[in-house]
Amino acid sequence: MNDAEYRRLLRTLTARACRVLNVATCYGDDWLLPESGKSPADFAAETLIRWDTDQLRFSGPPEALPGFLMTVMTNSIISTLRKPAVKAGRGGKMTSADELTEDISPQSKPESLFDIRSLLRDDAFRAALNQCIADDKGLKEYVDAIEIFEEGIPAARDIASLLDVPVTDIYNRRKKLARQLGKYGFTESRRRSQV
Amino acid sequence: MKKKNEENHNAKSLEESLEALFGREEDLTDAELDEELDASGIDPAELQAKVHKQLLDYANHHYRTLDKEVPEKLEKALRALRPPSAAEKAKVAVRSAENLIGSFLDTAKARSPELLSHALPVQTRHPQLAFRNKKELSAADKDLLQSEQEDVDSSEER
Repeated sequence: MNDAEYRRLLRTLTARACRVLNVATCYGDDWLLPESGKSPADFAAETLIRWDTDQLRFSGPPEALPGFLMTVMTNSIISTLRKPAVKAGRGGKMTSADELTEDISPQSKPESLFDIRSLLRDDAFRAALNQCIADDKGLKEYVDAIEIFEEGIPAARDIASLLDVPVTDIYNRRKKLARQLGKYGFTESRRRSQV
Repeated sequence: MKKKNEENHNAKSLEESLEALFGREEDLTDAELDEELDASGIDPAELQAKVHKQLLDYANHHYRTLDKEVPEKLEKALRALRPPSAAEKAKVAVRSAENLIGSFLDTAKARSPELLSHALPVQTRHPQLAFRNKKELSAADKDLLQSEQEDVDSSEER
């Protein structure tokens, strides 16, 4: 891997961490926040350190390495989410772990986070998603189309044929939705301290 | 082991859900990646500098201070993420200024006839032959000069 490829790998991992954390933040009865206080960049750095110091074993072809590292990092984020986490109210106020000592109620489990149907059925996630697509007819149409597929995860070409648009159009809507979630997924105060 | 398998399964499911909603990060071009990071409030240059520092701290803490050799992959990563020096930054700035000026001149050259047609009066739109470049006077020029001279002489006589 040359220097440019390594720099791209860092950016790809960070984009993935943003997506996972954005979705997790929007999800559930309460916002789930990793107590570790780790940012997307921290998760990416941690994964790269594990790779660079031979703590991970990978025997696949070089082009499959980014995918492998992204799965490793996603796993690590999920583990963090499973730990007794800090909850934050919908108002955006974060509560530290120390302040939560009296709260013995079970923490929100991220199980349903893993399934797209449950995700889309989750009121909080749906509200966040609606905010992202509010002013965009194309994105609204795209999310509605995903919901139509009851079984499994629809491929881009399935959605394209349902909406009668070229498949590249679906790829572009996906990219736009990811950017929108990035914009709406974090409050201003969190955004400033994110990197 | 069971927990590990479950976690792997969960990660896979989450990845599939994310892919269905947003597509694969690996399919993004460099510019699109930067755009997405920017939308999440992350500056790619700051990100690189921050992660470089984390890797450097790790290398110092776990290897250099213990007089151990830093693993080759980590050394390479540090080189790849190293922030540019002042000289490198200046070089990049000069190169981008040169490119900017070059593209400005190219545009100006390509559009000069169009721009001149709006900016200059009709008489000056076509290049004129400078008088000083003429080596010899033509017969017409000589006649013109002669008649001018005669006018001057006759006015003096009066």
